[in-house]
Amino acid sequence: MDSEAFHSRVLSFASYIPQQFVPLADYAGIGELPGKLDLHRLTGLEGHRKSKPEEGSLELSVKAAEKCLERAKIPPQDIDLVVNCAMGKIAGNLEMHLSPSMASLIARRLGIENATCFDMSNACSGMLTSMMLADSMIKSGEIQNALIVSGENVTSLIDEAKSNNLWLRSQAIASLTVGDGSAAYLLGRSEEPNQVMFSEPFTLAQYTNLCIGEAAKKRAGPSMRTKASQLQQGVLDNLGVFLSRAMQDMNLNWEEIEHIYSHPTSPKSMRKGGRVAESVLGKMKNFHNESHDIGNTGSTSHCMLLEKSIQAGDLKSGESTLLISFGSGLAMLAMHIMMPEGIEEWS
Amino acid sequence: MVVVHGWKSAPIGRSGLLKSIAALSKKVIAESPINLNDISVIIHGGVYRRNFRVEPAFATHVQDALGLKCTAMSPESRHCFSFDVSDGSCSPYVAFDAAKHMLKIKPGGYCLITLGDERPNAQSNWPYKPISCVMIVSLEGNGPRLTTTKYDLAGFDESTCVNMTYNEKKSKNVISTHNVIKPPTNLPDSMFVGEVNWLSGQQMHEFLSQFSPGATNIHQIIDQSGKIVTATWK
Repeated sequence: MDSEAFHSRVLSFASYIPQQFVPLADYAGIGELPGKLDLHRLTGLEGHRKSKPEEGSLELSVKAAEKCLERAKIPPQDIDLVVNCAMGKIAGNLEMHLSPSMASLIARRLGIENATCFDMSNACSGMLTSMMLADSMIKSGEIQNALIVSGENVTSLIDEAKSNNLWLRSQAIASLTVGDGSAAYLLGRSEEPNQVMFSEPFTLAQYTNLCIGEAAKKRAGPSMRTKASQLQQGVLDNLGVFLSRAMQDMNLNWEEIEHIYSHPTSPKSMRKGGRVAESVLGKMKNFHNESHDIGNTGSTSHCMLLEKSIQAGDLKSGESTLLISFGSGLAMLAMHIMMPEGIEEWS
Repeated sequence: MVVVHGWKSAPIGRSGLLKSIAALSKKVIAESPINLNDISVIIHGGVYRRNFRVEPAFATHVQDALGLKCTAMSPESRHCFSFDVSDGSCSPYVAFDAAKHMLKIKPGGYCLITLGDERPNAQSNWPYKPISCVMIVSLEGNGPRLTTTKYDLAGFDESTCVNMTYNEKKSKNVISTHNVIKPPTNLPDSMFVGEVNWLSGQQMHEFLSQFSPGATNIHQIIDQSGKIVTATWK
């Protein structure tokens, strides 16, 4: 329950989903992978979206942010906080932005002049972690409007993975499941309480070395190495307790939640996770995992799925929606939001 | 408002950033009245990591190195939450502001703020002698008390942005060449202003080393990009 001076709510959110679709067969056909591995059967993936050469993390972020501000009808000068949560901050030419914060550049591009700007790094949980901080800042009265943004230009990871002998470097195979995209959320003050709520966040650092993103060796851009099955097992081992505690923290009734979005993973793992959740808390209404044609877009994943739901006409104003986040580290947190007013007109 | 209960700093040396931060963290906790398990949040502020690592957050490696509540979840178990923030050498105050709010979200505990950078690789031109600095902070108690922070984006010069770029000759990703703003002259005596080329750890090390208890202390960090943060301490 809210106990602060102010309340907050999600005013809008938006994702930019690049138009270019690259089919899985073009880069990870059965004959190309070790042991005739069928990545489609394993992950359910049909392909990913690829940004244009001139669209780096910055440009992708700005596109999502502009759409988000337009949807909320909030002018840039009313934004007090900009947080960028992209993991790699990779430009179209594969240079990686380091300093100062990319949030400062995003603010400049949007015409935001007086906001506090910084970058947040918490892997795939960066956006929800930033939303949690922004929510607290709004509730304390420090700020009124916060823009949380991320642009993941990560499909160079696929080329990097394929430049290795995947028989010897099987930890690179998870890199074949990524896709490009960007996301933005706008949080603002609310008259009503409990429009945004968070579970207690946790980091189970015993799993910290299971997914590593860093500079590629002997080629431009990033690389990623993942012990995917161990990481998924870490999530599954703790999922039931985590969800029970999250529902208690937020005082929510699981069966009244209209939509549940988790970090995308293979259909098999989603089914396992779904079984754990339903065995502990009961049946779910709508458990979304429509990532088959966008892939894993890192920190933007939840918002990319939300955008697809908008396009499909699945979301309505005021609907109870739960986002469950797992990020390398291993970070676990959940956010419950009420769908913003006017969402039916967004598509 | 956050209060610094204890702090430690040291040159990073050859052992690397993680070992340096972990050793300092153990020392500062040992010398304070709190236990390791009282730490509920770890926030790291910095820009440069070994081999330009971006995932997972450095703070999660610190948590692992300290063995802090790295256990399976149970209905009653307590766990830490760890993440990184960055904004050039203004990162310390981003970390303080984040700590203030995270300690409301995970109440009753203490936050470990770690600051530091290390050369990403031997091939990168990196003209710094890094210092790591760790601090235990909470919302109440005795010690240096941060009351306000104010960020100024107006002087931000985009030509100063630092990137990782690929060097064909070295076959390595290295730090790009970049501009640095001209440091201001005639700085006021009423505040402590760090050097433009100090990284996050050194900024806080130098400020806390000269902190005057019982007086209002103003600390200004001017990042080499022209971004400025001004903090008031009591």
